[in-house]
Amino acid sequence: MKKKFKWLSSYAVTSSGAILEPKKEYKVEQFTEKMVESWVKEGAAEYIEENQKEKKKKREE
Amino acid sequence: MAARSIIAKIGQKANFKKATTWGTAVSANESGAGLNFKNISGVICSKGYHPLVEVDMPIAQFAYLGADQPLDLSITTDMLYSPGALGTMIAMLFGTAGEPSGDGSAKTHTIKFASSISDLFGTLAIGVPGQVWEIPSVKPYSWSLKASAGGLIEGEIKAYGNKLVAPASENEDLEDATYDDRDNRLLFHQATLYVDDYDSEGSLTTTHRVNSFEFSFVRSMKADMAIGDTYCVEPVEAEQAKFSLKVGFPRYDSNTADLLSKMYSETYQMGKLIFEGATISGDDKYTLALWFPYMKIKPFGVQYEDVIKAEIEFDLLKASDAPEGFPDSMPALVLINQRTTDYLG
Repeated sequence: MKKKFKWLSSYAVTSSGAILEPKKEYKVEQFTEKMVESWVKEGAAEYIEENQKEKKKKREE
Repeated sequence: MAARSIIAKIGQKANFKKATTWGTAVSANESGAGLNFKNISGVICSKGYHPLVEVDMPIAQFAYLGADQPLDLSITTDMLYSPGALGTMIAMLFGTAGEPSGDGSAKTHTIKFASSISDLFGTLAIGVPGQVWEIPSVKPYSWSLKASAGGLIEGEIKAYGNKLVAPASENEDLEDATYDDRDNRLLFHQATLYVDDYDSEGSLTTTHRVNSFEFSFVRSMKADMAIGDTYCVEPVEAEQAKFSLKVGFPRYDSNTADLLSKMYSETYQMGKLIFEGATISGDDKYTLALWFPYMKIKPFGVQYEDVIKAEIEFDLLKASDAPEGFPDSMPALVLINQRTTDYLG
């Protein structure tokens, strides 16, 4: 599961009142996976690949 | 599953998305499609009902549902500086938008009048407890903005819809849609009204202290039925578009007397109703401006009460030349907000 995404669209607000600002990164868990998947599919957001350090740290854990 | 026994609008939402084929719904569950509204009326099944009448039938034995008659929708909102999907509806009514200008986070959207608005419509998806309903094709035909004596500024969009689909076939869910904003509403005290004599090289300098106003823009449309169709064809303009501005003056003063003399002398006016809200960045503020390049004062009098008041209506016309600094020779709307994309994109 992807953990983070970057908002690519204009300043936006979700139904629950969460604010999405252009080029800022957010955790997927702040929203729903389905919601973020839909935004990525339409090009309003993109997933951020976890860097190698984070992956290694996770493996060690 | 929400309780279907209670049809409550509280907690429900609606989305609107531009579509391309009249009668065909598109998914409105996308970013930017959230529709800010406080009420929608006219969401009904509008099929004709035809009981059979024959002389030897003392009571009808058969009845038929006919085609869907056009829905007449009304959507009211406390107007926003960044109206999102509602802005798309307003831009559809004007007919021309475009990519915004501005290098920083503040973007300027100039929305102008087009002679025809054919092919401009969208899908409206509406939540009801446990279900989503949709109107595949919705075409705006009027917009008004009004306020009196303080508070929020109410906007109303009227639109024709082709039919109600309940439950929706294309829109099963509404939750992925985002709004452009939910804050930053227009407030009465943020408004300034300028009106001066028309001069294509002149500028606006005179402000008027009004205590009520109503701007309205109507395109009278005809939505006809055609043989073989189960819903109306795309509505088309049936008359000239009409723009008007009614303003109330709390006192009959020298300003009002001046406008009365301009009415008698038939001096055309030009004007602007501008709202400025919070700062976006630097000197840029959230802004909504309605520009009126050529205004005709309609005959008016005064209300002879304890305090003498006046209400003046301006017919908003097309100028031969746009006054300097105006976006167009016809009434136009300019929004400054943080939206980076075309309202009609």
